[in-house]
Amino acid sequence: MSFLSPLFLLGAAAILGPIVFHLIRRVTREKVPFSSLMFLQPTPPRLTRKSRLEHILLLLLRCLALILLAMAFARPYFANDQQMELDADERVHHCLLVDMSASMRREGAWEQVLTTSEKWLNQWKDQSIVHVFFFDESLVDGIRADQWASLSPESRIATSLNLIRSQSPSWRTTAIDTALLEAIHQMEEASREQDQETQQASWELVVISDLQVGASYEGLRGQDWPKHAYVVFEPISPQYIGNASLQVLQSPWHLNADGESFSPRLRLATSGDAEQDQYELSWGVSADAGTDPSKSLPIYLPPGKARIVDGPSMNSFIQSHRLLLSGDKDSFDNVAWLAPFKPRRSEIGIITQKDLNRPQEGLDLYARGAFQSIPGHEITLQIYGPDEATRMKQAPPTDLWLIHTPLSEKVADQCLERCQKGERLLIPIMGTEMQSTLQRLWPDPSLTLSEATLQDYALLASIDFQYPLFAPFADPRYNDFSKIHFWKHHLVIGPDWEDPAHSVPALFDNRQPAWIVKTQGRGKMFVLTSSWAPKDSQLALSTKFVPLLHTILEEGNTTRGLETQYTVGDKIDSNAWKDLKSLSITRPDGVTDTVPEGQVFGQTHEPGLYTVKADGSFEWTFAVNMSSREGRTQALPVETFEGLGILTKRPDQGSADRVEEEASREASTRLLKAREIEGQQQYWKWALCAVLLLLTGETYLSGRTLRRQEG
Amino acid sequence: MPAAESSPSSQSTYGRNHKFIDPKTLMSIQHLEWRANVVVEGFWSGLHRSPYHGFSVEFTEYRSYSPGDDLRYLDWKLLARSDRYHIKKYEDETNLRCMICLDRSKSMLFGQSGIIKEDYANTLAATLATFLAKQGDAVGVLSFDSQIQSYVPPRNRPGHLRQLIQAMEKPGQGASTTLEDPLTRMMSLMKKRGLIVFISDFLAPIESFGEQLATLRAYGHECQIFHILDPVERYFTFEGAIQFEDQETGKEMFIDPAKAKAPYLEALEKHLKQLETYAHQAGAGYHLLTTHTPLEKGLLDFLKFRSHQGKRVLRRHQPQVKGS
Repeated sequence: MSFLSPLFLLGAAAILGPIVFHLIRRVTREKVPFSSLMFLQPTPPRLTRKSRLEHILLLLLRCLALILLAMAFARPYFANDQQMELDADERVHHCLLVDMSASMRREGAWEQVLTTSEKWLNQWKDQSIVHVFFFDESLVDGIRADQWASLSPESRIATSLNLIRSQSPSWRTTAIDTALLEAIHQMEEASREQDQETQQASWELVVISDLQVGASYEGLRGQDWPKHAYVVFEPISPQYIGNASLQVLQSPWHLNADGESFSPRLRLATSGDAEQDQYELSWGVSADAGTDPSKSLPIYLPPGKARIVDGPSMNSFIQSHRLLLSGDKDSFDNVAWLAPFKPRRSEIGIITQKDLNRPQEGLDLYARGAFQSIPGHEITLQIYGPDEATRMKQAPPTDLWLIHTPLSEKVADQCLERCQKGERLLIPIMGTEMQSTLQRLWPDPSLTLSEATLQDYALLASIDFQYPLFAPFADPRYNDFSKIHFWKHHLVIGPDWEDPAHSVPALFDNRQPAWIVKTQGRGKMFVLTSSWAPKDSQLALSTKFVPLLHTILEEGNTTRGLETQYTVGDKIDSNAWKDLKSLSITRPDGVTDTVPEGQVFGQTHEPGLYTVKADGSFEWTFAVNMSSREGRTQALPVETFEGLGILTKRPDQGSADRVEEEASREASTRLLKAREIEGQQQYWKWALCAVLLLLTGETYLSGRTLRRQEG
Repeated sequence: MPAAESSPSSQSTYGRNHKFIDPKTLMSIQHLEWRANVVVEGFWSGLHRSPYHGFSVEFTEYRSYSPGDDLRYLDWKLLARSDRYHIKKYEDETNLRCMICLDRSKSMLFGQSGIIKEDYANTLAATLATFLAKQGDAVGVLSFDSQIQSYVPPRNRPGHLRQLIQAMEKPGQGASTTLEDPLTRMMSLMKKRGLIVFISDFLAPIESFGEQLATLRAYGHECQIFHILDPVERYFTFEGAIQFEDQETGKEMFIDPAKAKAPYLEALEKHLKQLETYAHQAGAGYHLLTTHTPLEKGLLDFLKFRSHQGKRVLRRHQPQVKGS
């Protein structure tokens, strides 16, 4: 018989009480007060040899009751050897989670990871179930439990350490929540493959990480953490305390007022434990060259603060891509990459009559006014005559052709040819004289133009705001076209409107087409059945005019919507370049990946400049930077995880502690098993019943004895 | 066994079909005054006389003399003035002064058979006091152990009886019994002749008690002695070896009752005889009562003795009719 709480057996010593009371009672009972002893002579009674204790049975009952009560409190149980063997077989599943996020690039951090990993792996070399994982944003398999089990105990350490040594910190962020939950999931999967017996095993997860406040742990909130799993956090202490980080804010390129230089907007932040407050920002002229001290910008930033600053100005013609932060000892996040400044150039050709007093004057005037160069976007306008076929042939690739006048056949053919190659035509129809040009460009000889009969004016009534031409106006704040009156417009008769090459994104209120878009090869032809000349409509006077023309211009811009800044780990959808064929991306390390159409490019593993090439001529460069979260290196207290319901355990301080801990763990496991067996047997209840019976008997017996004495 | 001793079995002798109240039942009444009233109820006979005659007799009426009338009551002055024979009639009135001496020593707290001697003695004293007060006699109480503890002088006025009973209910100081000093002191307190009633267990040396009793008698006091004992004290009914503890002195004695009983009873008998002899020699009444004896019996003994003594007194001190 064993006892769960053997200390309670000391309570059995209380039997001394009844024994003493039985002795004392005998003496006191014989003492009788008497009024006077004056008539009495001392007559000592003769001595007898009988036992000093009286009412032996009563005494036995009382002692037995006390002993049984003490036994009941001591929680007796019977455990055979087999059950104890089960105790010995109970195992702990171990899991090592190694942080390899960007913050582990700090000075001295990775060396500590190797040391700490070795310490834990040495402890576990005889254990049969051990997982090794690496994590940053996601969990990566290191050594699975079955691989570990297949290795001999001697080779386990070497294999594991070689694997860890072969790794190096990535540039990604830390996601402890994902790592822990995924590790638990993997251990669950592994446990299911084991015997049923090991389902009860406890799980020990050792997280070797710098536990920075920038790590993601919010995902643990609300999760039901398994009660048999506990986490040991092994915090890494890098050589330097404190950190400052640099972040390029997502803003489009814009030149300074001088039109030649620009200053990127930056966010500079320091951790709360930073030891200094003076920093400098400067441009690295190239990836390999040093900084230019003449352009450095001193910045004062106290610990734990963040500032948004305009970086040092850089001439737009010098192609520098790196901003450097100096003054911070940990350099892993002191570089910000910027995509090279690439001013856009657009070529626009206007085909119009060059004579004075021409009716197209209004068209030309407003078109020239709409297409003005702005910083970063240079627009070149070329005026062509309707019969300047030779000049047109020599013209450079043009983004947009505005056809304001009827064209000669040759010029029309050239326009059609250019359109089919990918250039765009915009044809406002001022009169039915455009019919022949339109027939040539469409090309449809049966197409006729006639002027619509309007009572007063026409309005744009049915507009498809899903269509790219009107998509910028989809917002209810901008979609009011009712103030634009059209005094005149034309009917285009003859085209098959069911043809998918034709689109009519806008109709007049008389249900006649207002805008017609026809796809011609790789280009598009935009036909306005009226014009923006003031005698035809109020379109040129409307605020919608310039955006509308620029939307048409942007239709041909292959870099439209492309981002210049990404964060490490971002996945870039190749659909952004859906119009481009044979896409390839060259990474900072020089490796070129071909991205199949419709696939996602996820190889943004390191910061730097990535170059996209397509169609042989298209080239686009974007910058990838490390997440600013990794720069927040202040240590996260372990209590944060405890607050989220994670069972934690403090790491061992030394080998002596480890032995003690092991002994303590074994003792606690045995105690748990004993409790389980005792809980099943529950002999204490029987002991209490026996106590009650004994006390009942004792009450009856003592009552009877008392009555007998009184009688 | 003393002649005056009585036991419950002999109660029919005294009561003439009168049912006495069981002392245990009586003691269950909490208030001493009520207990006394219960006992006194039905005993109103006034069969006693004052030792003084003519002194406090009040005239009520005349009646004509007829031959055979006691010539002591003939009004001689009236005869001289008017030459007619008239007999003066008087209203009887007592001026008896009674002092009850109550033993409050520790030994009186003994009560092995359910009734404590002190309770029994208090009840007896209260019964006597009530009885006498109802007759218009002056009653006082003197309690003592080794010396006088409290003293309430004899008076006869409204509320005095309650004062007496309160004095009786007052718990004793708990010393040992000594008869000599209290008696000496009492002689100085009782200047006038009267009735002195001793209620005690007399568990004390009584060598000098006879002389002091005789002195009291010589002063003209009438004495009555009520000797209260517990039946266990009287018959020593203990069994088995017992460690006895003296209630008064705290002295302990280990005794085998089987061996000690005979010497004890012999010594006690001797003590009782001695006390009775002293009483007889002094002309005092001696009544031995155990706590099982009904109180009415004690009262009856008291009245019978006084009646008998009164006759003797009357015979001895019969007043002479003037002129005879």
